[in-house]
Amino acid sequence: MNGVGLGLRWDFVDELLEKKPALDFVEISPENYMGRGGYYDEALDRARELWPIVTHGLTMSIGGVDPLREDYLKGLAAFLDRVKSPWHSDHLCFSTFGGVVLHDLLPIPFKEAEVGRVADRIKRAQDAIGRPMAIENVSFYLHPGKREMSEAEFIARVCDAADCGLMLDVNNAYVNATNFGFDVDAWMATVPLDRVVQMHVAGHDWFTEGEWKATDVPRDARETDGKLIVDTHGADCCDDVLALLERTLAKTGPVPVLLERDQAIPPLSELLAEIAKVKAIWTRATAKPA
Amino acid sequence: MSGADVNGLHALFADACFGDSADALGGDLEAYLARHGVAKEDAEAILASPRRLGLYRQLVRHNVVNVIGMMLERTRARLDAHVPGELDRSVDGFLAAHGPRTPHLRDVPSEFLAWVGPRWRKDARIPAWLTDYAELELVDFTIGVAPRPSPPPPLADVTADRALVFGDPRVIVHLGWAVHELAGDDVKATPAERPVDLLVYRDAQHCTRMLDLTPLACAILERLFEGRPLAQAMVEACAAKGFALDAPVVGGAAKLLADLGERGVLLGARENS
Repeated sequence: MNGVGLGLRWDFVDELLEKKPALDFVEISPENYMGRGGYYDEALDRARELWPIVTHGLTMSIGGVDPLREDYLKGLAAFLDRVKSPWHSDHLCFSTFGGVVLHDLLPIPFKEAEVGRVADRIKRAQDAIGRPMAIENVSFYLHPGKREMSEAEFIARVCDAADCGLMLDVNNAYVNATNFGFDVDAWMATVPLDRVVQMHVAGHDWFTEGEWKATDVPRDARETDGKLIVDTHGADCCDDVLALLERTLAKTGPVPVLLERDQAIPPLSELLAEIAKVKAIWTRATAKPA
Repeated sequence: MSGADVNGLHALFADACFGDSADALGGDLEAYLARHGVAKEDAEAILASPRRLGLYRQLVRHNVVNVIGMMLERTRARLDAHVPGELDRSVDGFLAAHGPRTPHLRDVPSEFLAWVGPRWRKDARIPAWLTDYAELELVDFTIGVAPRPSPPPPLADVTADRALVFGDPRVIVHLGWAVHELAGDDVKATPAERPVDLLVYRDAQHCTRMLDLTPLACAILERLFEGRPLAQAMVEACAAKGFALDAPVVGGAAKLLADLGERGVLLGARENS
């Protein structure tokens, strides 16, 4: 599996299955299909006949303190067997506490003691699903505790301790660098690019701090005061993210890149045009020796 | 960092997102963190971005509120017509008191209704039929997405001494009001109060279908679904409902089974061992 793929969403699955565009792969979230039959389950079978499938989970809560849910992992393992995903990725965050599932990606503190604890959970999850796992760097909006290392160092340490892959979300790296004011290229130089198994790109939106109202993209650094990027997956990828993707691909060599779009989904023709744009970048960047 | 510290931070986030904490997040955040026992150095990190816990509250709740609103869209319209804003208040109550337990977002509305249904039934402001209406709206969805059935066993012709084989998914829903007869656009309409037994199933095109059953038909089907042979199911059902097992009853049952066969619900009979 390589090249550029698209996150399969129900908003356009019918049209996608009808038009059968030449995608290199599609990505799905198992939580949307596990234990489910009917129309979309059948649509998944049809998609499997057309494109390779890779899975990206939402609720493993790899950074959580609740025990990993055995029933979830068992169901996930069976589902991954069914769709023949070569690896499975989920987020370096927590999404459960006290049995409650928060259904979002909550940040974990970058602390020494967290490295081993989280890595141990990744190893156990990896054993349970019988496939290599990759963890994704998430967008976060506050540090939920004192930082004992940078995010990039934390990711590197966790990947090393768990011996797992990295699902590198280029947009998330850009969002965090912009919101917290750090150098994203230095960040990229610190995370283990040799462990990248797949990348994500997506769009984001700017909001006013406090009121959280959508606002225009700042024209320069002076206009960013009181504003924040939220990782909405609700816009086209911006030029800065695509440029960062190209610089990163030039270092990693060819790895699969996925375009995510979850909100304000445009007509399929526009999504496919964006895929073509990303594919041109992928081709250009990976033609150079890594 | 000790395990207790991590637990405390995660508990803080869970409360900030789902708890009754909106005022605290917008007010004295330092006191709120102290009440949660957040260590000083961790509190300082959180206080560096003092409004962001509020952003997480908004993002997390949006996902859950959105899926409940989408899957109970018709219920919301009817509830709003009688008690404006009550669905949102009920969701707030659910999140604060219980919260989602399922890893599947699509199952959150069912968890919500299981929690709120008994409360709505006791609430004099809310129409007595509203919970039935919400349950039917959700069953429409849950049957539509229920797991695909296992292949049926070898099938034989239907005879009186055989148990019957039915396709899945299917369920019989018992209601106290004829909420399935309500027109879609008249949100102020009130359904007739009568016992209703609905067979809800998924057809070959993955659409959810409903069939209004008579009490006797329901009694027969329930026994057949439990695996009793056809004759036994009919004898027991007639006894339970006070019917004589006469020619009209047998004829009616034959019609029902033929109809279910055409609908793809009745697949055949199980071979006698």
